[in-house]
Amino acid sequence: MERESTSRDVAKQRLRQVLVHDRAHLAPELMAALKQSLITAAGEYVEINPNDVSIQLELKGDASTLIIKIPVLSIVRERKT
Amino acid sequence: MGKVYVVTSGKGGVGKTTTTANLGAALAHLGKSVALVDGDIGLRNLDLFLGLENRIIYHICDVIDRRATLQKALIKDKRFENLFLLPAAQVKGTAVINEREMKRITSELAKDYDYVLVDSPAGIEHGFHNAAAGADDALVVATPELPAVRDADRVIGLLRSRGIKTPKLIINRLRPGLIRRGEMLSQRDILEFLGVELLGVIPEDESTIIATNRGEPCVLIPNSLAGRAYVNVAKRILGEAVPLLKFDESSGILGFFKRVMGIG
Repeated sequence: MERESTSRDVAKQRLRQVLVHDRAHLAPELMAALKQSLITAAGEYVEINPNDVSIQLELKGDASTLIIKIPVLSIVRERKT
Repeated sequence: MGKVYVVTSGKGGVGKTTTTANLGAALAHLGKSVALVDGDIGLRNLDLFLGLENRIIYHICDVIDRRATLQKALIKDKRFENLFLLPAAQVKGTAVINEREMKRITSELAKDYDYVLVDSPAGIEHGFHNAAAGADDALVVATPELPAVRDADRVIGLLRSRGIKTPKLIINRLRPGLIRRGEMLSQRDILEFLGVELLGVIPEDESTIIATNRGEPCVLIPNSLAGRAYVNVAKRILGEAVPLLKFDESSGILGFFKRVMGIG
């Protein structure tokens, strides 16, 4: 049986999210720009679908981690110019 | 040379001024000389917590304007020989406080007193920066609520960028019963997020309201849980290794009282 989450659990979850945003000081436009740069950079080496790319800031303890997921469609043998 | 602390929180209403008054009283009670500075210009309140509101003649802006010396503006507490208050101006005076003036005042006080506590106004505007200007270290007050913890996180970041690298946290108005029921952030939760040293936990206690009504810090009220917790914080400031009260999810109310009374 799944236990209903307490308000403390909800508070922790919400706090985690809000602190990630506060600490990152990255506006949504900046996150979008970062994503675009990553797509461009990765696209030079491997074939990717830009729509599959996701980036996320995660908070654990005192540190924030940028988690980037870029599924690769195929390895590009020669570097594109 | 004494040590200068700024007491701050970002969010208003979490108990900054209560904490300043009580820590000042507790440190004085433990034999230290203490000067409290009300940094909340225009919203003077620290005097009320100490019951000194009828004794104010000069205030911080008079000192800055050279209308009064620092010694003249300081008010001696009624109960403690070695506790003094530098009141805020209640109306905006002609003097504008800036960081340089605040630094001058706190360093002047640090020559004569063991501890100087500056009560910061709420917010992170210039009032906060003025209050922090002369501080060697910071006491950040937060209640176990989302807005307070979020603001504390912001303030800790600002303090660090000001060169106060290791701000200390005081968790105020903690309700052990709610934590046991899973309806309040625990001290462990808050520390996990903020990643700073915890200096003390003050339980929610109606004696703080009674103390404010009477204008005497709750450290003076016999059997006040909050008062005892504040004395413990003061002892930790003095470097004593007083065990932290643990209000974990598992702790029973009996265990809680035992620990608070120092018999657990």
